[in-house]
Amino acid sequence: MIEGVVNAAYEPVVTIGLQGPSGQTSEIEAVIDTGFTGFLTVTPELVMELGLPLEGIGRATLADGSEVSFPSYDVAVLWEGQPRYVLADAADTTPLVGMRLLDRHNLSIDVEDGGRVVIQAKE
Amino acid sequence: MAAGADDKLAKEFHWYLDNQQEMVEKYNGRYIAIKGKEVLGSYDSEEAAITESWQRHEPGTVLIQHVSPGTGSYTTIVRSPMMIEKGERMRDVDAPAPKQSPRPTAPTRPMDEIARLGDEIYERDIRRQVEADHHGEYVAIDVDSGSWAVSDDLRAAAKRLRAQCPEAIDVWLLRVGYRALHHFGGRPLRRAE
Repeated sequence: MIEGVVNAAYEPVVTIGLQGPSGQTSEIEAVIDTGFTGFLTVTPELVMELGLPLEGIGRATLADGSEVSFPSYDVAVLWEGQPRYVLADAADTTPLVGMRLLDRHNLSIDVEDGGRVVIQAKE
Repeated sequence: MAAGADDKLAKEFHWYLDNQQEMVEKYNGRYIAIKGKEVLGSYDSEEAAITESWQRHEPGTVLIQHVSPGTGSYTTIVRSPMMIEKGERMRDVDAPAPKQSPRPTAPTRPMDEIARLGDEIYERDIRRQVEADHHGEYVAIDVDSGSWAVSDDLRAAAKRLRAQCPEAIDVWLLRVGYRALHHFGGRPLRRAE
């Protein structure tokens, strides 16, 4: 089970660990974004800090219908103590946890300032 | 999309393929070292297999193979002597990341150019081969060589391509039948083709 909190800006936030190819780790705060269909976004600074290898370039559609190309990086997400290897998209925003990372999990959010966020693996 | 073994180890690799069922029965999940038509040893880890077999044999003359049923491991575990000499090793799809990153963190071309080249190659060479049977799966294309790989998992497609084509840097990733890999905050009203 992963727990987080709804912050004052009404963002559901969780703390997750990331690991790069040389074993460096970093704990980040990420916003759960159910409108994002990818796994995870990370900042370019985090890509450099962890030395993440580039896997490729992909295309994403933004909320206004426009399209952007973005680089994807190989990263291990430390998820309840276990590494999960996913491709993270680099974006210069608060890191986002997308729906793919929540695949086969149950997400519950008490939507209020300070509300509880719980992510639980499905049985 | 199985990548061929390097010539020097092709014999070992083909011997493994011919005897895969027997190998799985004996060594499933383990790493074996093969030279000629002989299994030199089986090991819990890849590291152990490499360390042990290279102490006694010239690097590049022994094939380290992860034993598993199916075709999943063909593309990822065969190590060519060239790579061994360079001190690089390919990674299994689920294996931990290597100690040293062989790849840069930035592409060599502007991203828009990679997108354009990738789309061109896809339309010209790939679409007809994948559209019917791989809708919703992921394709990774090396825009320099035109090599590509397909998988139902995005990361696995990229790994598979790199197993075939370790030098690939500018790689275009796409989803079969979709305009974009991902959406942020909603998707266009028209069907995203």
